[in-house]
Amino acid sequence: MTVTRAFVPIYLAVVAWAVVAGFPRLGALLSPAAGAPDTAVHTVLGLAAMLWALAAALRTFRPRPPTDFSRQFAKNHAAVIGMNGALLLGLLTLVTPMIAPFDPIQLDVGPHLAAPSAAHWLGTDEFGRDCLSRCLYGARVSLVIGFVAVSIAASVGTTIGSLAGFYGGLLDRALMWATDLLLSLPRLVLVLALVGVFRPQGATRAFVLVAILGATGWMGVARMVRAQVLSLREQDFVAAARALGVPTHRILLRHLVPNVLAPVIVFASLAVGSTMLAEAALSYLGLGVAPPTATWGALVSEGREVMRTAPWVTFVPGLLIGFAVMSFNLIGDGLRDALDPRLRGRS
Amino acid sequence: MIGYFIRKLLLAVPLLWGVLTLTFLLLELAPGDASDAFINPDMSPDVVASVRLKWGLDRPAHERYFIDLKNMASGDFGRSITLERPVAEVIAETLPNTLQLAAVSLFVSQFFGLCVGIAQSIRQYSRLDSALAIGTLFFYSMPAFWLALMLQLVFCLYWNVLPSSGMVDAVMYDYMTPTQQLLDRCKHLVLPGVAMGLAGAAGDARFMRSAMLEVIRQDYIRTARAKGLPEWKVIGKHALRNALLPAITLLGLNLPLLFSGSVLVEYIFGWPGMGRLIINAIMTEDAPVIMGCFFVYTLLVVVGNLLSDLVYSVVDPRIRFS
Repeated sequence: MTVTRAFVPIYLAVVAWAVVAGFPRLGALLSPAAGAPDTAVHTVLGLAAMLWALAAALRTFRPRPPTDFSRQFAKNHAAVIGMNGALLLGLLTLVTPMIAPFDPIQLDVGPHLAAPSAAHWLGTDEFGRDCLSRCLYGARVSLVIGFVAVSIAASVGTTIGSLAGFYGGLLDRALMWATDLLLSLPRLVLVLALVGVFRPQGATRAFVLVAILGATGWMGVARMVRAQVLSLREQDFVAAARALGVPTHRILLRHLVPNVLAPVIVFASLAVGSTMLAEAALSYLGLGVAPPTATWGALVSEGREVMRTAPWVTFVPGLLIGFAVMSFNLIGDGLRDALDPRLRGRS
Repeated sequence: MIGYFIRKLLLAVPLLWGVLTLTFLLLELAPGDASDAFINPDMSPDVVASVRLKWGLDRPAHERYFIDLKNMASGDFGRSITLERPVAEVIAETLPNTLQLAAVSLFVSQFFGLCVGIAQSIRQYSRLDSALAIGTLFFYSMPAFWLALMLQLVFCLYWNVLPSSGMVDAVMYDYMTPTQQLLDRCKHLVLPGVAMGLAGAAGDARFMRSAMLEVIRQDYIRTARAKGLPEWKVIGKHALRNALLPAITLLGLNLPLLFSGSVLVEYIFGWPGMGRLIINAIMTEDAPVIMGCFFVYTLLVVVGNLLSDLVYSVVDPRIRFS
């Protein structure tokens, strides 16, 4: 079965991407000026892993013939634009140390609050830092946090959802109660409370942030996966597997989970956007990654005080957040339409 | 039907208990507590002990947990530590403001969402459709706090036509006639309401478009057209009413999202609502306020979902809850 094969590389790749590119880099990102070469290596490896995962997804999640998934996706102009936008951003983060004109945290590289000019394409902020460089470096933090948090959320959600749906009974009730519990609180409030109460300091802050964003984003996936597993477990191929004496955990992992991965991937690509927005909001409130590290949300927040005289400090990073989120939303919409026409139009 | 709602309300009890337990655990795990604000290193141990005694922090955690539960169950939310006022009083003061803002933004998002979604669906694949699709996607993807700042920049700093913060004019409000007061309140509502509603409007429009498109292809729409009904009646009466059904469910599900959005918008526009209250409470580790706010948020979400169920059953008589 093609679907079964897909399960292994995708999860491996997501984990590899998270471990190889995400976590070591989060530490390095806290001092963006240092350690540029090995960050670049991590990024290359991470991006390669991501592309591999994507290629595997494109190759294997082909619905029944004659509809060809990749052709379907390629026909969708909006999705292709989104994919290009995301790839462009990925590429930019990859080459940031090479193309950024200035050090993002170096003070007084130009006049204070200078309007965009030939020397400073996006102007400078109130400390004379170069806005373009800060935006470029901010992209890395925002994107990495978004990706890693969503991989955590999607894995946790799939695990919880499939366990609840498959075993049912008391376990199902308990897990769904926890899901409802977390869903009944506004996510931003929950994240704020977690970050605000734990006050992670220094280098651990980025890790804790990612963990918290992941821990508060899995409920949607869990519900969806549970619903799918509930109907799948009654189907003949599960009964057949049981009759053949396949152990339960194997049925779950090899027969059920691969079948629900398509909507999980759609969900994940849409969730990258909302997670980036949540991260931006946190940074805006001063509870994001520790300053002076630039993240897009923090950049918007920094420009707030000088908005009247220097609107460019606020304007561009916000636009960039929107651009990134839009790209991932377009990809998500495209994947959804191409993978499952029945899901079309649901949001 | 009534039994269904009662059962749903009863289900809220374990949910509320869970939220309270979660909050309590969270606050216990956190380093330090609210008494830190009153304690400095120069104090004698006696004074420190008396401060902790005053807030009941000298008891072991499990005792405080049951005391908290008992108090919450009897409707006593305790006293805010930093504001030195009863939490119930503070929430009663801020909740109406948040609900007011939420209602306005809900109106904005539903109104614009419906209009745009319908316009797109009746002219599918036209230029208008693509232009609106790009527009809605833009507002859907933009961070709400950024939109709020841009609105402030344009309407407060550059044009100065609308107030940038607060609910009423800080100085002149008391000297205004009732009509002026009402006008003043409306003026203060515009920017936060729009900032909060725009993202929702974009989401609603995307949803309405697809819901309408699904309905428009149905046979009964063709029947309605075939029997010669004017187009506005076909769309407004036959298509829209059916397309609205999923939108109502969405409304209930999106309530937490609405309150998430209000936190930031209230913070930016200085709106004296629950969002600002809880941000301040979190920053100062004001445990009773955090607990009270979480409790009220959960209650609001549960009640909101019930209301959307209720509206659903009114709009669609086919639905019978059992």
